[in-house]
Amino acid sequence: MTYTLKKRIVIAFLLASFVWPPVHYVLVDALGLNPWNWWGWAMYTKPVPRVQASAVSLTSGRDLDLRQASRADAAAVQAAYKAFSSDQMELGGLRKPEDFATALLRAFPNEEGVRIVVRRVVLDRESAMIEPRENPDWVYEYRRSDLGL
Amino acid sequence: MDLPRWLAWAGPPADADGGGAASGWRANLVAFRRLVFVHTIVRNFLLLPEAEVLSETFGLSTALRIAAIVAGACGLLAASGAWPARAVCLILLGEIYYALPDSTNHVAVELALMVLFTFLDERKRDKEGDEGRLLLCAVRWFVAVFFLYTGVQKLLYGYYFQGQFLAFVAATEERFAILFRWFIPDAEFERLLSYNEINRATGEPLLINRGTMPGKMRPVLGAGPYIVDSLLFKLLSNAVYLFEIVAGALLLVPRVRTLAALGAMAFVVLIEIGARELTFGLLMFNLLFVFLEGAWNKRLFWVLVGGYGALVLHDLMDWQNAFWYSPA
Repeated sequence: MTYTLKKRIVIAFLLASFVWPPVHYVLVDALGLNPWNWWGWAMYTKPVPRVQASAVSLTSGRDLDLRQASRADAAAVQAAYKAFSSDQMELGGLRKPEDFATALLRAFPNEEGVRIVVRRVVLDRESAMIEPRENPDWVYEYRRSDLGL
Repeated sequence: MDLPRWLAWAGPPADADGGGAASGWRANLVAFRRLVFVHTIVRNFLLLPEAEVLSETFGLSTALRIAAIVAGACGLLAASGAWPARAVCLILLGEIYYALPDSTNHVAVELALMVLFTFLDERKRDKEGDEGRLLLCAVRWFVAVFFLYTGVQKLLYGYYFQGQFLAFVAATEERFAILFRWFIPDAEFERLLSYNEINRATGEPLLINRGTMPGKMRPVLGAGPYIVDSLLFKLLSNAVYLFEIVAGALLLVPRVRTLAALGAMAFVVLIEIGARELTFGLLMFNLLFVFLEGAWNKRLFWVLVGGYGALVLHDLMDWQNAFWYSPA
């Protein structure tokens, strides 16, 4: 590799390191990525949001109550929820809750479908209060047929 | 735009090889590179899940860390860092992939440096060009841009104008409470603590661990406002991003580079009192020494190695319960 080529690689490398953080900022805003990660140097900019999700029956519109599921099914739902909420915190809208919905529909065999509403608990910048934040794009509906169940 | 000229702006003076205070920069780069390999070795050692190493649950994560330690040791001992750096790059990519979607910035900084070591040899110079100069320029630009953007991002997100972020972490994380409570009036600090869920449930104060663990509290919905009625605290909060932006820019200005680097080091010390990311803090010192006139990475090589050694000793002696820090 010639020196000239190496110099060009260094310049490209530095330009990329200069351009990526603004792109990161836009992606965090658009997709809900965790700003602390993904190499945008935005750690300690804002508190890492907490993720919450609620699940309701598509037919009755009522909350699915895990106490009505078997212990094993409830444990599977909780494990799926934990994995989903942890990933969603990092990936935002890129992480869909299919596995969580699958676990729910397995735990509730009489339900035809489930609606999952994902919200985040954030520190609001203006009010400086802890507030729930819903995103219309983060409402998911799954029917058994969608999940191959 | 004359990018090569901009790049060279961060390099040593043109006559730096002819003697004087800046003449040791090439040997200094060797020490710098070796210290980055020391960092790789120690970080991976500290993150080794000790119970897993000799057990049946030995997994890919552990294998990657052991491989990183071996490759890092080769880089530390070898005259040229290119091949060990290539191995470390692959291993770090594996670590990043394995940890996804959790993708920490600290590993990315390490990876960026290793990428530079894969194709730039600080000893190599001929009539076509000087790779040592190119490496020094690349490292300085990268660090300055990194520093600058840590401030710019805080500015863009806007959680420092009223001190919201610092008030939140002071109330919810013990490691920051210990630092920032000195800047928050007692009554205000009590108010912030009262928002914590665990505080309401148990009635116990936040600082129950006396600095031994990074206790994290979970505030209830509707808690706040996380704004402190203290001018000093707000000034401190705004000074954080302003300093990062100004220091990041000044690190590239030859006349004030040393002053900016010294200021940045003091800033890193202050941050680490709260954040306690001591392993990364040592890497930051190694990176900032590169900006000083004179071979400070070389002169303080054993001091930094001693710092890493202290972290290893802390780990071996299992002192995390006496004093917690983040090994990542």
